[in-house]
Amino acid sequence: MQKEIPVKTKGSQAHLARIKERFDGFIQSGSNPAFGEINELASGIIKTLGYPHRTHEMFTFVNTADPSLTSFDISEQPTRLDDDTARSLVYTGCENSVLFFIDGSLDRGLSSFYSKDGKMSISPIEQNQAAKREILEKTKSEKDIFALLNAAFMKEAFLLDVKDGESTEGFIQLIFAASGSGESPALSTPHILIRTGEDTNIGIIARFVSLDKGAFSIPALSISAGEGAKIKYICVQEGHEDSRHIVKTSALLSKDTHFTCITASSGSALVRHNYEIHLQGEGAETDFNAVSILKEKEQAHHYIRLHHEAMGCISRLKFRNILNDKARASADSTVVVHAGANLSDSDQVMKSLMLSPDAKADSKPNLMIYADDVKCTHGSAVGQIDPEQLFYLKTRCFSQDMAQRILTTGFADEIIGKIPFAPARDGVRKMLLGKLER
Amino acid sequence: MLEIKDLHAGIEENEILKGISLSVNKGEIHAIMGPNGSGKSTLGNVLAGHPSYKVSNGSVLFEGDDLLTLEPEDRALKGLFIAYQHPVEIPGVGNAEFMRMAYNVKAKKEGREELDPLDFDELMSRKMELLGMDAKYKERGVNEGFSGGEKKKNEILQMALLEPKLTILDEIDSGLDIDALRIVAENIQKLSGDKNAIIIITHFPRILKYIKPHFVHVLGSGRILKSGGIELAMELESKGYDIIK
Repeated sequence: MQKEIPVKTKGSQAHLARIKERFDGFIQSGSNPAFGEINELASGIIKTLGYPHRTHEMFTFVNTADPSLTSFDISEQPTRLDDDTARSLVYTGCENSVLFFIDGSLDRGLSSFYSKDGKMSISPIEQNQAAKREILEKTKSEKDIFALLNAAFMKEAFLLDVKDGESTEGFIQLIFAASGSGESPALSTPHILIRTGEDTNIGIIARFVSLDKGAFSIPALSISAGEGAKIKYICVQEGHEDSRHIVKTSALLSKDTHFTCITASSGSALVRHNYEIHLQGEGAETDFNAVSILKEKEQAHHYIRLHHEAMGCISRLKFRNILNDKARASADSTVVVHAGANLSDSDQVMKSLMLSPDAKADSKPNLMIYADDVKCTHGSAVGQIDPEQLFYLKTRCFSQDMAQRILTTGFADEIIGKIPFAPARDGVRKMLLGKLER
Repeated sequence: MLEIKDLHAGIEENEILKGISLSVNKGEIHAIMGPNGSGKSTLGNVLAGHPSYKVSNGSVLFEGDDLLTLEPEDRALKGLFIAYQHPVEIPGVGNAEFMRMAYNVKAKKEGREELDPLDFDELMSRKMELLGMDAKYKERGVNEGFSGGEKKKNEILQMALLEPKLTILDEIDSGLDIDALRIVAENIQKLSGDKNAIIIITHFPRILKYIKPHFVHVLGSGRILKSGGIELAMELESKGYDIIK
């Protein structure tokens, strides 16, 4: 049960005051009137809910007291990304299906999006009343302060629409680059609706890059899948160690949909992924995977709420974290099997490998079951390299160092190896496994 | 090749091996038999260098060098190989890549050519075919989700690729059906020769119908109580371990 938030602590009041000051300034100059209703609604809800602190169920493992989370600047103009940097962020094979969002704004010059028969489109939703209503309705029930900040400070939003039956062999790459130049953290609020029709088969890569120190990115992505849709979603987070990235991704899955999600995080001063997944139609499936490799003071936190709302749905959640130095990670995942969602099948496994005694990993798998005839399991383990595995490798001629490297790489590769797009898989391997080289 | 003299070893405060002495020469196959708890697997683990076991007395020379001072990886590089009764699973580490790396570490040490993935794949495929192993096991995690029989075959596959001088087979026959046993045993027999040696640790004489040992030793209470030839194994089959009581 969500604990009541006492709004009268000094710290939380200071945060709220900073948010209000920035919001007032944003509304005066910088906001987009097309989103005014959403901005005001979100701002009001923030005031009602108050600013969360560590006893808040949603932020148990995250230090929300950090003043930089509400001391942000709102940039009026997005930074310009040079061509070489832009090119380096595009995975091979995505050159004709890449969308660049710089500080939340679509950069049409850098983007290249071609749909052969017009069955896919990307459009701003300023004049799309239906899409705006969707965001408004979502905002009304939102409890995550950072998702609400996204809505409160939203200036642009886009709809990626995939029509019924569309199937892509390759992947669409969405690049979200956040700059951080300036004295205070620079807020970036990209907001994307992804709507896939019936029987679509689509791959999407969301690559979140914090370009500079001080980048503060709070993206919101909403995916809704029509009946029979198959979606492969890869999320890659990387960037400056002194940046903050807090993303909310929600997915509504209809009957017989299949949603594969693989999140790979390199960490930073604060990284938090909030996934809210609803298996709304009978036979919907989700295969969720998250991997992070962290060092020094990097953090990566995962907060997952997965709802079985129909019969016969399947969910698999797998978490792998490798932590060195004073890194911190958490996996807080609850699977809720609602009444009537009989024959649900769910499994959660969380494992963290600690390479340093000063690193900290928290695992909190939960189950809330309100239906009959279900099969739900969960497990978690935090520890060091398995000594029996280590010994086995040594009896196969590997030195201690080499055996440790094989085992730590293999631990992360259980998830990295599942990325279904080779250029992204190789890129993530290089990004993450390179951190194990000391 | 292997000279064990008065070996005493155990785990924590518990002494399990209470004075084992054994000589194994090139070209020989030795069977170590005995009831549960007699120390058979402990002997294998001590020779391999498992850190849980402590040697309190005795010596082991392997190819003239003191084995007990060597790390497990150095024992392996010297040519000692142990095939486990219950090999660990290592998810995330591809079976083929693991074997290629192990092959290349040994090849480099011995001054032989290392193999690239394509050449190694060819070599591995040939060996897998002889063992009746499906190619799908190349990409799986090491032993991950393998049945008991497939794990044993995977151990013999490693033996075939690493070509050790001394192989210790720890209950390689346990959990194998008749056909799998025959295939595994035939492959082991093919791998044996006059330049290497094999120690088969087993409860049951059935594998010895396929791999004929030169010597059979019966362990009891941490000691070799009786040694003989194949006829000793046959006597055990008809009379059981009562013959050593």
